[in-house]
Amino acid sequence: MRNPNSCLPTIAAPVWSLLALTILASPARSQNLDFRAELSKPSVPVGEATVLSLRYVDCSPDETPQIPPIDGLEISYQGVSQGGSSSFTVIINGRTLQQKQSAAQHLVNYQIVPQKTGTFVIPPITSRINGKDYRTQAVRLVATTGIDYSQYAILKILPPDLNADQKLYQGQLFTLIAQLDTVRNTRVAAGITVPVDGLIINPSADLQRRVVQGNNGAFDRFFQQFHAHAIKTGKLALGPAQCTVGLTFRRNASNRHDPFRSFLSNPFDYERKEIQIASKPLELEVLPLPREGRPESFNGAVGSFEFAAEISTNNVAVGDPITLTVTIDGKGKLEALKMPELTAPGWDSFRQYPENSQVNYRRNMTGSATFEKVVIPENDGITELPTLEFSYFDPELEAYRTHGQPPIPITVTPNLNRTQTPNFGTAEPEEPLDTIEFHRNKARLGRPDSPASPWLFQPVFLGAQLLPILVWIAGRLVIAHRQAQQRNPLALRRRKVKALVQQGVKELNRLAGDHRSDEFFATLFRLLQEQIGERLELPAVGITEAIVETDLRPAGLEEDELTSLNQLFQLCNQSRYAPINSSEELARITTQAEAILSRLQQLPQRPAA
Amino acid sequence: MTPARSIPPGLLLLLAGAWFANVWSEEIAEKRFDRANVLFEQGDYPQAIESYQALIENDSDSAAVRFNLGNALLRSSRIGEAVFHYRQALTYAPRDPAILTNLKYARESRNPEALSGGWPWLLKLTLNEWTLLTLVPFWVWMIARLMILFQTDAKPYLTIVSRTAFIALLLAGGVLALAALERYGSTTAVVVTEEAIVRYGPFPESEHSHKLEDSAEVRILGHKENWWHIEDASGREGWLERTQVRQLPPHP
Repeated sequence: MRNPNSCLPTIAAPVWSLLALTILASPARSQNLDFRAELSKPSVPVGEATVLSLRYVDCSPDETPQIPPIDGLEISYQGVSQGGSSSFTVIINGRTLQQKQSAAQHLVNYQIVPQKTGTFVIPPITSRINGKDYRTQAVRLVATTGIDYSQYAILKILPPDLNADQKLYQGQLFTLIAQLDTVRNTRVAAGITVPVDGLIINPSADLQRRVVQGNNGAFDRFFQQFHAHAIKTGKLALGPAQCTVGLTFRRNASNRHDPFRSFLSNPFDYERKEIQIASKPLELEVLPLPREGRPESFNGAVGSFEFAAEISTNNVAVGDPITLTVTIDGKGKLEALKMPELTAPGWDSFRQYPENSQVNYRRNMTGSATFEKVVIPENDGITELPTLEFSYFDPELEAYRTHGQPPIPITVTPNLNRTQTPNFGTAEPEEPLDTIEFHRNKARLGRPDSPASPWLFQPVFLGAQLLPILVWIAGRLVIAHRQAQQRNPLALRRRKVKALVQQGVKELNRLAGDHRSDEFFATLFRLLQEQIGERLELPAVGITEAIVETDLRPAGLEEDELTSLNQLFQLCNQSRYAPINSSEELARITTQAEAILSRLQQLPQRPAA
Repeated sequence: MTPARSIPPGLLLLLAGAWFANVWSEEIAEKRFDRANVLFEQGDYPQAIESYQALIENDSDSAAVRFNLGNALLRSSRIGEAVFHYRQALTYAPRDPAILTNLKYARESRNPEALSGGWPWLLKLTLNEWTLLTLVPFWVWMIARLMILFQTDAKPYLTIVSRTAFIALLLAGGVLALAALERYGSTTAVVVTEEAIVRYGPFPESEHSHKLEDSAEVRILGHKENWWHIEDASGREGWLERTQVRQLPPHP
């Protein structure tokens, strides 16, 4: 059944023919296969790269196609990448129909750099796909006049810092500088490299930059300093030095006279161009060290050095170590220096151990190398540390020089105690064993005992330390209790009244004995007032016998106690006009008062209103 | 009735007997000790060593026995064992100069590399001495606090004393903790054989790692059956048979 929405049936036969021709006209289009060649930039300046891509749609090559060499073009294979969708255009009855389809795309890329101006034709490229050969269309590339970037960046290697007539010898340390002059605001990505043959070079500092004012304006000058020494002789190639620089150019010079240009600079006005530059190579003539005049003690040192030697002690016993410290100070390759060999006559009486070395550079290839070597005298007939010699070749003098250390007098005494070989694992000097006085046996057994554990782990000791803490805690509790009571007015009154009653009872006894009736009853009345007032939380001055019935009976006082209390109040009242002077009677009243006061103290305190 | 009459005569007899037995055993130990010393002076170090060891086994251990035993072992070139017994002697007499000197002599006679780490200055004083140094500010602090509680007149001065003592207590307490850690934080041992073979594993079949000389001191990291897991002064780890080392007592 025909689809009513389909337009295909309405397309006339000629249109189908045109479509077929269009498809067939494409470079390689059969069996739904699309294979063609494209240039990323069809026109480039000389020296700049463009990319030629061989595009495979819905297919892939059996093998990487080969581009034939073309005079004037530098072609290099760049690899394979995956592309996106593809489309092609069909014109039907004057209407343009763009057919877009998603398809797997396979790109084989080549970088092409024209070496000269002109128009180049890249011929059809043949590729084998699924066992059959297919060809692309020919592609045209126009190479225009390029920019000579080398005028913006000049790299060169400066000759070694030697005197005019000075020669360069094998092993001689020298300074080498690579200098790069560029336009301002240039970036140098990864320093300057200098390929060498027969030389060892190491950067001695980071790349340094300086702005230099020239006749045509300011420019950037970069320095890279190397320390180098030759390990071969003859003519050695140095360089060419290489580096990648990022040059900054103004994209459009049309607004050069724009007054705001200087301070409204648009970063998009600039473009950065990364270029590889190289210097001219340098050739060095390196001479071998002369054989004539070479001392026996020479062990390869080249430079200019001072030499000093010292020993740790000059008074030892046989078998005791002496540390010999040799310091070589000067200019040269210090890491290559070796400890002078101890081969002079007399050294065979010393046992020698491998030396330790340390190198300290100061600046300009100068510094010092220090060697520490342990030697042990093997007999007590030795009277001196034999001579030491250090020889080196001085390139400036072009001659060998020798420094000598005269014999150092030492005293070697017999060692009767030592039987063991010392171990020199530790650098820290130890007290010589001979200076330690070995203690002989103890003559008394002493009290047999078992080792006591430290006080820190003895419970009794630790418990004793708790004592002041406990006393302090107890003191704190007592003080806290007192302070709490002082803050409670009821408790404070109770304590005061209690003390007053105790004192008052004694006073009553004394007054009774003195027959002082008035004062006796006045005191008794006051004591009763104070005690009842404290219990009932009432002011003492307001207490009369009337309160006995109203407040003390409900408070729980017994009948006989109430009677006794009433009686005491009445006696107090009567005493004003019928005093009692009998001591016995007053003593009896005191006892009665004491009993009732005691009973009152036991009454529950009436809660505050 | 007087108290003396309340003690039964039998008990008095028993106490007297015990006292005499004690004196008698001390007398015997002293004679054995003298005999060992004579053997030492005669140069018969193996017999002297046996005699000193017999004294230790018979509960007559003392600083003198351990010290003389160390000397005899040192004379027999058994330096690791000598170091062990000198260290044992120090547990009885931490400040004995003779023991300290001979221990130093023994350790330096082979000059083994010292165990790294720790604070050697904490060993200058004994743990009891560090404890005493801590107790002084502690008691001053406590007494000052107590006086502040009950005497208010001199409170400003007492407060200064209390605070100063408390700061001193914190410092001394910290040092005391470090001193205890230095002694009991790790266990050390000394090699007592002429040459101890350190292996990669706790089995006789395990591959050799390296060798340690007599008197080399090691730190014990662990153990498995008859093997110690050790670390030597160079930081090398391995396993040693227990018979090859003796565990050292903590520093006094």
